Amino acid sequence: MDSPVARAKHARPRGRHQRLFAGLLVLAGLLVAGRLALNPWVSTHTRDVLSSLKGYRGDFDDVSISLLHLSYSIDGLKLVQVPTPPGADVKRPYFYARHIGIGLHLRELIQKRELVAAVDLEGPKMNIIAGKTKETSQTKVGDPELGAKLQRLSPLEVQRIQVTHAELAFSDQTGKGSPSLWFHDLDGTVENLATRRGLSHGEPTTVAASGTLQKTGQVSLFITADPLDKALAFSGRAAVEGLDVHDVGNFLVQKADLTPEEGSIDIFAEFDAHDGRIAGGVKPVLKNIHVGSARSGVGPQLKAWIADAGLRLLSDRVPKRHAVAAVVPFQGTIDSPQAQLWPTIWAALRNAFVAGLQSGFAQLPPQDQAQKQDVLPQARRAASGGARR
Amino acid sequence: MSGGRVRAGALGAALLACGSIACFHTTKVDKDQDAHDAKTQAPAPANGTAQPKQSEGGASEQPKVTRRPERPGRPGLAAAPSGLFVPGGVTQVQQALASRGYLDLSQVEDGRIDLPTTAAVRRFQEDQGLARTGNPDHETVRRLGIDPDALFRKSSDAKKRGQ
Repeated sequence: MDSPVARAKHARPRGRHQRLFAGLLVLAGLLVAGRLALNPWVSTHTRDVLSSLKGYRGDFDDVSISLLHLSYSIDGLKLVQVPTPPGADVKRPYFYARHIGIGLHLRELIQKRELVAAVDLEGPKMNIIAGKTKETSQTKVGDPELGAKLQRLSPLEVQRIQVTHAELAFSDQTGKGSPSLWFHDLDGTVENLATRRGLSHGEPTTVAASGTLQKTGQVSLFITADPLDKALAFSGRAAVEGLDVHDVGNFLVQKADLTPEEGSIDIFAEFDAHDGRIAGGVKPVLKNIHVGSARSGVGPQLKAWIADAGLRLLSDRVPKRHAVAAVVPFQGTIDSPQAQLWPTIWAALRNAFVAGLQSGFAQLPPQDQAQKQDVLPQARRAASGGARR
Repeated sequence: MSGGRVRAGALGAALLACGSIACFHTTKVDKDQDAHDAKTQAPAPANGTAQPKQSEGGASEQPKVTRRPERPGRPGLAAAPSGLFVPGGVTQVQQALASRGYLDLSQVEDGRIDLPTTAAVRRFQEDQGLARTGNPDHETVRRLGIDPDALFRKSSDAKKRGQ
Protein backbone atom coordinates (compact mmCIF):
# COMPACT_ATOMS: atom_id res chain seq x y z
CA MET A 1 0.00 0.00 0.00
CA ASP A 2 1.36 3.41 -0.99
CA SER A 3 2.09 5.98 1.61
CA PRO A 4 0.41 9.44 1.31
CA VAL A 5 3.76 10.91 0.22
CA ALA A 6 4.11 8.38 -2.59
CA ARG A 7 0.53 9.04 -3.70
CA ALA A 8 1.22 12.76 -3.78
CA LYS A 9 4.33 12.12 -5.93
CA HIS A 10 2.24 10.21 -8.48
CA ALA A 11 -0.56 12.74 -8.39
CA ARG A 12 1.69 15.76 -9.10
CA PRO A 13 2.42 14.97 -12.77
CA ARG A 14 -1.22 14.09 -13.37
CA GLY A 15 -2.23 17.42 -11.96
CA ARG A 16 0.34 19.21 -14.09
CA HIS A 17 -1.00 17.53 -17.22
CA GLN A 18 -4.51 18.48 -16.30
CA ARG A 19 -3.52 22.10 -15.76
CA LEU A 20 -1.66 22.15 -19.09
CA PHE A 21 -4.65 20.62 -20.86
CA ALA A 22 -6.97 23.13 -19.24
CA GLY A 23 -4.67 25.97 -20.24
CA LEU A 24 -4.58 24.81 -23.84
CA LEU A 25 -8.34 24.43 -23.83
CA VAL A 26 -8.76 27.98 -22.57
CA LEU A 27 -6.30 29.27 -25.18
CA ALA A 28 -8.10 27.42 -27.98
CA GLY A 29 -11.41 28.74 -26.67
CA LEU A 30 -10.04 32.27 -26.61
CA LEU A 31 -8.74 31.92 -30.17
CA VAL A 32 -12.07 30.58 -31.41
CA ALA A 33 -14.00 33.24 -29.49
CA GLY A 34 -11.59 35.91 -30.71
CA ARG A 35 -11.98 34.75 -34.27
CA LEU A 36 -15.76 34.63 -33.98
CA ALA A 37 -15.81 38.10 -32.49
CA LEU A 38 -13.20 39.55 -34.80
CA ASN A 39 -14.61 38.32 -38.09
CA PRO A 40 -17.76 40.50 -37.95
CA TRP A 41 -15.65 43.47 -36.88
CA VAL A 42 -13.19 42.89 -39.74
CA SER A 43 -16.07 42.45 -42.14
CA THR A 44 -17.58 45.78 -41.11
CA HIS A 45 -14.21 47.51 -41.26
CA THR A 46 -13.54 46.10 -44.76
CA ARG A 47 -16.94 47.38 -45.97
CA ASP A 48 -16.09 50.83 -44.55
CA VAL A 49 -12.77 50.89 -46.41
CA LEU A 50 -14.38 49.78 -49.67
CA SER A 51 -17.16 52.34 -49.40
CA SER A 52 -14.60 55.10 -48.88
CA LEU A 53 -12.99 54.42 -52.28
CA LYS A 54 -13.57 57.32 -54.64
CA GLY A 55 -15.07 56.40 -57.99
CA TYR A 56 -15.46 52.72 -57.20
CA ARG A 57 -17.97 50.53 -55.43
CA GLY A 58 -16.60 47.49 -53.66
CA ASP A 59 -18.17 44.26 -52.52
CA PHE A 60 -16.98 40.87 -51.27
CA ASP A 61 -18.32 37.43 -50.37
CA ASP A 62 -16.44 36.73 -47.16
CA VAL A 63 -13.57 37.94 -44.99
CA SER A 64 -11.82 36.12 -42.18
CA ILE A 65 -8.94 36.72 -39.87
CA SER A 66 -6.71 34.21 -38.12
CA LEU A 67 -4.85 35.22 -34.96
CA LEU A 68 -2.96 31.95 -34.97
CA HIS A 69 -1.51 32.51 -38.45
CA LEU A 70 -1.58 36.32 -38.29
CA SER A 71 -3.46 36.33 -41.55
CA TYR A 72 -6.35 38.13 -43.20
CA SER A 73 -8.22 36.78 -46.20
CA ILE A 74 -10.98 38.11 -48.39
CA ASP A 75 -12.97 36.09 -50.91
CA GLY A 76 -14.87 37.31 -53.95
CA LEU A 77 -13.63 40.89 -53.82
CA LYS A 78 -15.18 43.00 -56.58
CA LEU A 79 -14.59 46.62 -57.51
CA VAL A 80 -16.89 48.30 -60.00
CA GLN A 81 -16.36 51.77 -61.38
CA VAL A 82 -19.16 54.23 -60.62
CA PRO A 83 -20.60 55.69 -62.66
CA THR A 84 -19.96 53.07 -65.37
CA PRO A 85 -17.99 54.60 -68.25
CA PRO A 86 -20.10 55.21 -71.37
CA GLY A 87 -19.64 52.34 -73.76
CA ALA A 88 -18.23 50.05 -71.11
CA ASP A 89 -19.85 46.75 -70.27
CA VAL A 90 -21.46 47.15 -66.87
CA LYS A 91 -20.95 43.46 -66.20
CA ARG A 92 -17.18 43.85 -66.32
CA PRO A 93 -15.85 45.01 -62.95
CA TYR A 94 -12.60 46.88 -62.82
CA PHE A 95 -11.17 44.28 -60.46
CA TYR A 96 -12.26 40.90 -59.15
CA ALA A 97 -10.34 38.37 -57.07
CA ARG A 98 -11.50 34.91 -56.09
CA HIS A 99 -9.26 34.94 -53.02
CA ILE A 100 -6.74 37.30 -51.48
CA GLY A 101 -4.73 36.23 -48.45
CA ILE A 102 -2.34 38.44 -46.51
CA GLY A 103 -0.16 37.00 -43.76
CA LEU A 104 2.58 38.18 -41.42
CA HIS A 105 5.62 36.10 -40.55
CA LEU A 106 5.50 35.45 -36.81
CA ARG A 107 9.19 34.58 -36.47
CA GLU A 108 10.42 37.86 -37.96
CA LEU A 109 7.89 39.76 -35.85
CA ILE A 110 9.07 38.19 -32.59
CA GLN A 111 12.81 37.82 -33.26
CA LYS A 112 13.56 40.92 -35.34
CA ARG A 113 10.45 43.01 -34.60
CA GLU A 114 9.97 43.49 -38.32
CA LEU A 115 6.72 43.39 -40.25
CA VAL A 116 7.32 40.84 -42.99
CA ALA A 117 4.27 40.04 -45.05
CA ALA A 118 3.27 37.67 -47.84
CA VAL A 119 0.31 38.17 -50.16
CA ASP A 120 -1.48 35.53 -52.20
CA LEU A 121 -3.92 36.43 -54.99
CA GLU A 122 -5.92 33.66 -56.63
CA GLY A 123 -7.87 34.21 -59.82
CA PRO A 124 -7.72 38.01 -60.00
CA LYS A 125 -9.28 39.65 -63.05
CA MET A 126 -8.72 43.21 -64.15
CA ASN A 127 -10.47 45.16 -66.89
CA ILE A 128 -8.70 48.28 -68.10
CA ILE A 129 -10.45 50.59 -70.52
CA ALA A 130 -8.58 53.41 -72.21
CA GLY A 131 -11.27 55.89 -73.17
CA LYS A 132 -11.10 59.15 -75.06
CA THR A 133 -11.53 61.11 -71.85
CA LYS A 134 -10.76 60.49 -68.21
CA GLU A 135 -14.46 59.98 -67.53
CA THR A 136 -14.75 57.21 -70.11
CA SER A 137 -11.64 55.39 -68.90
CA GLN A 138 -11.45 52.65 -66.34
CA THR A 139 -7.83 52.68 -65.37
CA LYS A 140 -6.90 52.91 -61.76
CA VAL A 141 -8.27 52.79 -58.27
CA GLY A 142 -7.22 54.15 -54.92
CA ASP A 143 -4.63 56.65 -53.98
CA PRO A 144 -1.83 57.26 -56.51
CA GLU A 145 0.40 58.29 -53.61
CA LEU A 146 -0.33 55.08 -51.74
CA GLY A 147 3.16 53.68 -52.30
CA ALA A 148 4.86 56.80 -51.00
CA LYS A 149 2.52 56.94 -48.00
CA LEU A 150 3.18 53.31 -47.16
CA GLN A 151 6.89 53.97 -47.35
CA ARG A 152 6.57 56.77 -44.82
CA LEU A 153 4.24 54.79 -42.60
CA SER A 154 6.16 51.87 -41.18
CA PRO A 155 9.09 49.57 -41.78
CA LEU A 156 7.50 46.82 -43.82
CA GLU A 157 8.82 44.12 -46.07
CA VAL A 158 6.50 42.32 -48.44
CA GLN A 159 8.54 39.20 -48.90
CA ARG A 160 6.41 37.75 -51.65
CA ILE A 161 3.29 38.53 -53.64
CA GLN A 162 2.06 35.53 -55.57
CA VAL A 163 -0.57 35.78 -58.27
CA THR A 164 -2.08 32.70 -59.89
CA HIS A 165 -4.57 32.23 -62.74
CA ALA A 166 -4.89 35.96 -63.35
CA GLU A 167 -6.62 37.69 -66.24
CA LEU A 168 -6.03 41.18 -67.61
CA ALA A 169 -8.23 42.68 -70.32
CA PHE A 170 -7.20 45.92 -71.99
CA SER A 171 -9.61 47.74 -74.27
CA ASP A 172 -8.44 50.74 -76.28
CA GLN A 173 -11.43 52.92 -77.10
CA THR A 174 -9.40 55.96 -78.07
CA GLY A 175 -9.54 55.21 -81.79
CA LYS A 176 -11.39 53.22 -84.36
CA GLY A 177 -12.19 49.53 -83.96
CA SER A 178 -11.81 49.48 -80.15
CA PRO A 179 -9.13 46.78 -80.20
CA SER A 180 -8.69 44.73 -77.07
CA LEU A 181 -5.93 42.62 -75.59
CA TRP A 182 -6.61 39.72 -73.28
CA PHE A 183 -3.92 38.27 -71.06
CA HIS A 184 -4.98 35.10 -69.26
CA ASP A 185 -3.64 32.10 -67.38
CA LEU A 186 -1.18 34.57 -65.92
CA ASP A 187 1.02 33.57 -63.00
CA GLY A 188 3.32 36.09 -61.42
CA THR A 189 5.42 36.94 -58.40
CA VAL A 190 6.83 40.05 -56.80
CA GLU A 191 9.57 39.43 -54.26
CA ASN A 192 11.46 41.61 -51.83
CA LEU A 193 9.36 44.76 -51.74
CA ALA A 194 10.59 46.80 -48.77
CA THR A 195 9.90 50.26 -47.40
CA ARG A 196 13.37 50.61 -45.85
CA ARG A 197 16.79 49.99 -47.36
CA GLY A 198 17.74 47.85 -44.35
CA LEU A 199 14.85 45.49 -44.97
CA SER A 200 15.67 44.82 -48.60
CA HIS A 201 18.60 42.49 -47.78
CA GLY A 202 20.74 44.20 -50.42
CA GLU A 203 18.68 42.66 -53.19
CA PRO A 204 16.39 44.29 -55.75
CA THR A 205 12.65 43.87 -56.02
CA THR A 206 11.99 41.15 -58.56
CA VAL A 207 8.92 40.76 -60.75
CA ALA A 208 8.37 37.66 -62.88
CA ALA A 209 5.32 36.59 -64.85
CA SER A 210 4.23 34.26 -67.59
CA GLY A 211 0.94 33.64 -69.33
CA THR A 212 -0.97 33.76 -72.59
CA LEU A 213 -1.89 36.74 -74.76
CA GLN A 214 -5.12 36.33 -76.78
CA LYS A 215 -5.34 32.70 -77.89
CA THR A 216 -1.80 31.99 -78.99
CA GLY A 217 0.89 34.35 -77.64
CA GLN A 218 3.15 33.08 -74.87
CA VAL A 219 4.09 35.98 -72.62
CA SER A 220 7.07 36.12 -70.28
CA LEU A 221 8.29 38.99 -68.17
CA PHE A 222 11.24 39.56 -65.85
CA ILE A 223 11.97 42.86 -64.12
CA THR A 224 14.31 43.91 -61.33
CA ALA A 225 13.77 47.29 -59.72
CA ASP A 226 14.99 49.41 -56.85
CA PRO A 227 11.86 51.14 -55.53
CA LEU A 228 13.90 52.97 -52.88
CA ASP A 229 16.11 54.75 -55.41
CA LYS A 230 15.15 58.42 -55.75
CA ALA A 231 15.62 58.26 -59.51
CA LEU A 232 13.74 55.51 -61.28
CA ALA A 233 15.88 52.38 -61.43
CA PHE A 234 14.72 49.23 -63.17
CA SER A 235 15.94 46.70 -65.66
CA GLY A 236 14.25 43.82 -67.41
CA ARG A 237 12.93 42.09 -70.44
CA ALA A 238 9.62 40.94 -71.86
CA ALA A 239 8.65 38.65 -74.68
CA VAL A 240 5.56 37.60 -76.59
CA GLU A 241 6.12 34.51 -78.74
CA GLY A 242 3.99 32.71 -81.31
CA LEU A 243 1.24 35.31 -81.43
CA ASP A 244 -1.07 34.60 -84.38
CA VAL A 245 -1.63 37.83 -86.30
CA HIS A 246 -5.38 37.22 -86.39
CA ASP A 247 -5.32 37.58 -82.61
CA VAL A 248 -4.23 41.21 -82.93
CA GLY A 249 -6.10 42.05 -86.12
CA ASN A 250 -8.09 44.96 -84.71
CA PHE A 251 -4.99 46.32 -83.03
CA LEU A 252 -3.06 46.32 -86.31
CA VAL A 253 -5.91 47.94 -88.18
CA GLN A 254 -5.87 50.79 -85.69
CA LYS A 255 -2.10 51.16 -85.36
CA ALA A 256 -0.84 50.34 -88.85
CA ASP A 257 -3.94 50.45 -91.09
CA LEU A 258 -3.18 46.91 -92.23
CA THR A 259 -5.21 43.72 -92.07
CA PRO A 260 -3.12 40.64 -91.33
CA GLU A 261 -4.03 37.65 -93.48
CA GLU A 262 -1.70 35.01 -92.08
CA GLY A 263 1.44 34.50 -90.00
CA SER A 264 2.64 34.96 -86.45
CA ILE A 265 4.73 37.46 -84.57
CA ASP A 266 7.26 37.37 -81.73
CA ILE A 267 8.13 40.57 -79.86
CA PHE A 268 11.19 40.83 -77.62
CA ALA A 269 11.93 43.89 -75.54
CA GLU A 270 14.74 44.74 -73.15
CA PHE A 271 15.12 47.93 -71.16
CA ASP A 272 17.18 49.55 -68.43
CA ALA A 273 16.49 52.76 -66.52
CA HIS A 274 18.77 54.55 -64.10
CA ASP A 275 19.65 58.11 -63.09
CA GLY A 276 16.67 59.48 -65.00
CA ARG A 277 17.62 57.80 -68.27
CA ILE A 278 15.96 54.86 -69.97
CA ALA A 279 17.35 52.85 -72.86
CA GLY A 280 16.29 49.70 -74.56
CA GLY A 281 15.17 48.03 -77.70
CA VAL A 282 12.23 46.22 -79.20
CA LYS A 283 12.64 43.43 -81.68
CA PRO A 284 9.58 42.21 -83.54
CA VAL A 285 10.07 38.96 -85.46
CA LEU A 286 7.42 38.40 -88.13
CA LYS A 287 6.96 34.86 -89.42
CA ASN A 288 5.14 33.83 -92.62
CA ILE A 289 3.35 37.15 -92.65
CA HIS A 290 0.98 38.36 -95.35
CA VAL A 291 -0.97 41.56 -94.94
CA GLY A 292 -3.75 43.37 -96.77
CA SER A 293 -5.20 46.84 -96.55
CA ALA A 294 -7.69 47.68 -93.85
CA ARG A 295 -9.36 50.24 -96.11
CA SER A 296 -10.38 50.38 -99.72
CA GLY A 297 -8.89 52.90 -102.12
CA VAL A 298 -5.69 53.19 -104.11
CA GLY A 299 -3.55 54.72 -101.35
CA PRO A 300 -4.24 52.17 -98.60
CA GLN A 301 -4.09 49.28 -101.09
CA LEU A 302 -0.71 50.49 -102.37
CA LYS A 303 0.56 50.81 -98.80
CA ALA A 304 -0.55 47.26 -98.02
CA TRP A 305 0.95 45.96 -101.25
CA ILE A 306 4.30 47.64 -100.52
CA ALA A 307 4.27 46.32 -96.97
CA ASP A 308 3.51 42.81 -98.20
CA ALA A 309 6.19 43.08 -100.91
CA GLY A 310 8.64 44.33 -98.30
CA LEU A 311 7.88 41.36 -96.11
CA ARG A 312 8.49 39.02 -99.02
CA LEU A 313 11.76 40.71 -99.90
CA LEU A 314 12.96 40.35 -96.35
CA SER A 315 11.70 36.89 -95.66
CA ASP A 316 13.30 34.72 -98.29
CA ARG A 317 16.48 33.99 -96.37
CA VAL A 318 15.38 30.70 -94.89
CA PRO A 319 13.59 28.15 -97.07
CA LYS A 320 10.14 27.15 -95.81
CA ARG A 321 10.24 29.80 -93.12
CA HIS A 322 9.63 33.44 -93.70
CA ALA A 323 10.84 35.55 -90.83
CA VAL A 324 11.61 39.23 -90.53
CA ALA A 325 13.44 40.85 -87.65
CA ALA A 326 14.65 44.35 -86.88
CA VAL A 327 15.68 46.04 -83.64
CA VAL A 328 13.92 49.29 -82.85
CA PRO A 329 16.04 51.06 -80.25
CA PHE A 330 14.65 53.62 -77.85
CA GLN A 331 16.21 55.93 -75.32
CA GLY A 332 15.29 59.03 -73.42
CA THR A 333 15.07 60.77 -70.08
CA ILE A 334 12.61 60.60 -67.22
CA ASP A 335 13.09 63.93 -65.52
CA SER A 336 9.62 64.41 -64.05
CA PRO A 337 9.81 64.40 -60.26
CA GLN A 338 6.28 62.96 -60.25
CA ALA A 339 7.29 59.90 -62.23
CA GLN A 340 6.48 56.73 -60.35
CA LEU A 341 8.22 53.42 -60.75
CA TRP A 342 5.48 50.92 -61.51
CA PRO A 343 3.37 53.12 -63.84
CA THR A 344 6.55 53.97 -65.75
CA ILE A 345 7.43 50.28 -66.15
CA TRP A 346 3.87 49.52 -67.26
CA ALA A 347 3.96 52.39 -69.76
CA ALA A 348 7.37 51.32 -71.09
CA LEU A 349 6.13 47.73 -71.58
CA ARG A 350 2.92 48.84 -73.24
CA ASN A 351 4.70 51.24 -75.56
CA ALA A 352 7.35 48.64 -76.39
CA PHE A 353 4.61 46.21 -77.40
CA VAL A 354 2.80 48.80 -79.52
CA ALA A 355 6.07 49.99 -81.08
CA GLY A 356 7.01 46.38 -81.81
CA LEU A 357 3.73 45.66 -83.56
CA GLN A 358 3.58 48.95 -85.37
CA SER A 359 7.15 49.14 -86.60
CA GLY A 360 7.24 45.46 -87.40
CA PHE A 361 4.27 45.66 -89.71
CA ALA A 362 4.96 49.06 -91.14
CA GLN A 363 8.49 47.81 -92.02
CA LEU A 364 10.03 51.07 -90.96
CA PRO A 365 13.77 51.62 -90.73
CA PRO A 366 15.25 52.23 -87.27
CA GLN A 367 13.67 55.42 -86.10
CA ASP A 368 15.47 58.74 -86.12
CA GLN A 369 16.21 60.61 -82.92
CA ALA A 370 12.92 62.46 -82.76
CA GLN A 371 10.92 59.28 -83.20
CA LYS A 372 13.06 57.25 -80.81
CA GLN A 373 12.11 59.57 -78.03
CA ASP A 374 8.47 59.17 -78.80
CA VAL A 375 8.17 56.13 -76.54
CA LEU A 376 9.60 57.86 -73.51
CA PRO A 377 7.57 61.04 -73.49
CA GLN A 378 4.54 58.77 -73.55
CA ALA A 379 5.95 56.81 -70.63
CA ARG A 380 6.62 60.05 -68.76
CA ARG A 381 3.11 61.31 -69.37
CA ALA A 382 1.64 58.02 -68.25
CA ALA A 383 3.88 57.97 -65.20
CA SER A 384 2.89 61.44 -64.13
CA GLY A 385 -0.78 60.60 -64.57
CA GLY A 386 -1.23 62.93 -67.49
CA ALA A 387 -1.72 60.29 -70.13
CA ARG A 388 -4.82 58.40 -71.03
CA ARG A 389 -4.38 54.76 -70.19
CA MET B 1 -1.07 56.07 -121.12
CA SER B 2 1.32 58.62 -119.63
CA GLY B 3 -0.65 58.40 -116.33
CA GLY B 4 0.02 54.69 -116.33
CA ARG B 5 3.74 55.32 -116.85
CA VAL B 6 3.75 57.77 -113.97
CA ARG B 7 2.00 55.26 -111.71
CA ALA B 8 4.38 52.52 -112.78
CA GLY B 9 7.34 54.84 -112.11
CA ALA B 10 6.01 55.74 -108.69
CA LEU B 11 5.50 52.07 -107.91
CA GLY B 12 9.05 51.30 -109.06
CA ALA B 13 10.46 54.07 -106.91
CA ALA B 14 8.48 52.83 -103.95
CA LEU B 15 9.76 49.30 -104.49
CA LEU B 16 13.35 50.56 -104.75
CA ALA B 17 12.90 52.48 -101.51
CA CYS B 18 11.40 49.41 -99.90
CA GLY B 19 14.28 47.31 -101.15
CA SER B 20 16.86 49.73 -99.78
CA ILE B 21 15.08 49.71 -96.43
CA ALA B 22 15.14 45.94 -96.54
CA CYS B 23 18.91 45.90 -97.20
CA PHE B 24 19.50 48.33 -94.36
CA HIS B 25 17.45 46.24 -92.01
CA THR B 26 18.93 42.90 -92.90
CA THR B 27 22.51 44.17 -92.65
CA LYS B 28 21.89 45.67 -89.24
CA VAL B 29 20.24 42.64 -87.72
CA ASP B 30 22.23 39.94 -89.47
CA LYS B 31 23.83 38.57 -86.32
CA ASP B 32 20.58 38.49 -84.37
CA GLN B 33 18.76 36.95 -87.29
CA ASP B 34 21.34 34.22 -87.68
CA ALA B 35 21.10 33.37 -84.00
CA HIS B 36 17.35 33.33 -84.32
CA ASP B 37 17.56 31.10 -87.38
CA ALA B 38 19.76 28.64 -85.57
CA LYS B 39 17.19 28.43 -82.82
CA THR B 40 14.05 28.16 -84.86
CA GLN B 41 15.48 25.72 -87.38
CA ALA B 42 16.29 23.22 -84.66
CA PRO B 43 13.84 20.33 -84.47
CA ALA B 44 11.15 20.91 -81.90
CA PRO B 45 11.22 18.46 -79.01
CA ALA B 46 8.26 16.19 -78.54
CA ASN B 47 8.18 16.24 -74.76
CA GLY B 48 10.15 19.31 -73.83
CA THR B 49 13.13 17.40 -72.47
CA ALA B 50 15.25 16.93 -75.58
CA GLN B 51 15.67 20.56 -76.46
CA PRO B 52 18.88 21.78 -77.98
CA LYS B 53 21.16 23.98 -75.93
CA GLN B 54 19.86 27.50 -76.06
CA SER B 55 20.72 30.77 -74.50
CA GLU B 56 18.90 32.26 -71.54
CA GLY B 57 15.17 32.56 -72.04
CA GLY B 58 15.64 33.28 -75.72
CA ALA B 59 18.43 35.75 -74.97
CA SER B 60 19.68 35.56 -78.53
CA GLU B 61 16.45 37.30 -79.49
CA GLN B 62 16.72 40.06 -76.97
CA PRO B 63 17.93 43.51 -77.97
CA LYS B 64 21.06 44.20 -75.95
CA VAL B 65 21.12 46.99 -73.40
CA THR B 66 24.23 48.43 -71.82
CA ARG B 67 23.87 48.32 -68.07
CA ARG B 68 25.60 50.39 -65.45
CA PRO B 69 28.03 48.94 -62.93
CA GLU B 70 26.72 48.22 -59.46
CA ARG B 71 26.68 51.26 -57.19
CA PRO B 72 27.62 51.07 -53.51
CA GLY B 73 24.65 50.68 -51.21
CA ARG B 74 22.29 49.87 -54.04
CA PRO B 75 21.16 46.43 -55.07
CA GLY B 76 22.43 45.21 -58.42
CA LEU B 77 19.77 45.13 -61.09
CA ALA B 78 19.67 42.56 -63.85
CA ALA B 79 17.69 42.17 -67.06
CA ALA B 80 17.86 38.37 -66.88
CA PRO B 81 17.30 35.97 -63.95
CA SER B 82 20.84 34.56 -63.95
CA GLY B 83 22.20 38.05 -63.26
CA LEU B 84 20.82 37.81 -59.72
CA PHE B 85 22.76 34.70 -58.74
CA VAL B 86 26.22 34.37 -57.22
CA PRO B 87 28.75 32.52 -59.39
CA GLY B 88 27.78 28.87 -59.45
CA GLY B 89 24.30 29.63 -58.16
CA VAL B 90 22.49 28.69 -61.34
CA THR B 91 24.37 25.39 -61.47
CA GLN B 92 23.18 24.61 -57.94
CA VAL B 93 19.59 25.22 -59.02
CA GLN B 94 20.04 23.03 -62.09
CA GLN B 95 21.54 20.23 -60.00
CA ALA B 96 18.69 20.43 -57.48
CA LEU B 97 16.16 20.24 -60.30
CA ALA B 98 18.03 17.30 -61.83
CA SER B 99 18.17 15.43 -58.52
CA ARG B 100 14.38 15.66 -58.37
CA GLY B 101 13.95 14.41 -61.92
CA TYR B 102 12.85 17.70 -63.43
CA LEU B 103 15.90 18.35 -65.58
CA ASP B 104 18.35 16.42 -67.74
CA LEU B 105 21.72 18.05 -67.09
CA SER B 106 23.13 16.90 -70.42
CA GLN B 107 20.59 19.10 -72.18
CA VAL B 108 21.35 22.37 -70.40
CA GLU B 109 23.97 25.03 -70.63
CA ASP B 110 25.86 25.10 -67.34
CA GLY B 111 25.35 28.33 -65.44
CA ARG B 112 22.68 29.71 -67.76
CA ILE B 113 18.96 29.77 -67.15
CA ASP B 114 18.17 28.46 -70.61
CA LEU B 115 14.85 27.24 -72.00
CA PRO B 116 15.07 23.66 -70.61
CA THR B 117 15.91 25.06 -67.16
CA THR B 118 13.02 27.52 -67.34
CA ALA B 119 10.65 24.72 -68.37
CA ALA B 120 11.91 22.53 -65.53
CA VAL B 121 11.47 25.35 -63.00
CA ARG B 122 7.94 25.89 -64.28
CA ARG B 123 7.07 22.20 -63.86
CA PHE B 124 8.55 22.18 -60.35
CA GLN B 125 6.59 25.33 -59.42
CA GLU B 126 3.37 23.79 -60.71
CA ASP B 127 3.92 20.64 -58.64
CA GLN B 128 4.63 22.78 -55.58
CA GLY B 129 1.53 24.94 -56.03
CA LEU B 130 3.63 28.02 -56.73
CA ALA B 131 3.11 30.63 -59.44
CA ARG B 132 4.39 29.11 -62.71
CA THR B 133 6.72 31.87 -63.85
CA GLY B 134 9.73 29.76 -64.83
CA ASN B 135 11.89 32.11 -62.77
CA PRO B 136 13.83 30.45 -59.94
CA ASP B 137 12.78 32.93 -57.26
CA HIS B 138 13.49 32.81 -53.52
CA GLU B 139 10.54 30.60 -52.62
CA THR B 140 11.24 28.17 -55.46
CA VAL B 141 14.88 27.94 -54.46
CA ARG B 142 13.89 27.41 -50.82
CA ARG B 143 11.61 24.54 -51.82
CA LEU B 144 14.48 23.05 -53.79
CA GLY B 145 16.30 22.80 -50.49
CA ILE B 146 18.79 25.61 -51.12
CA ASP B 147 19.30 28.60 -48.83
CA PRO B 148 18.39 31.68 -50.91
CA ASP B 149 20.68 33.91 -48.83
CA ALA B 150 23.65 31.94 -50.11
CA LEU B 151 22.45 31.88 -53.68
CA PHE B 152 21.44 35.43 -54.59
CA ARG B 153 23.84 38.34 -54.98
CA LYS B 154 23.65 41.08 -52.37
CA SER B 155 24.88 44.65 -52.32
CA SER B 156 28.24 45.21 -50.68
CA ASP B 157 26.58 47.13 -47.80
CA ALA B 158 24.25 44.24 -47.05
CA LYS B 159 27.20 41.84 -47.08
CA LYS B 160 28.97 44.02 -44.50
CA ARG B 161 25.87 44.05 -42.33
CA GLY B 162 25.74 40.27 -42.63
CA GLN B 163 22.28 40.20 -44.18
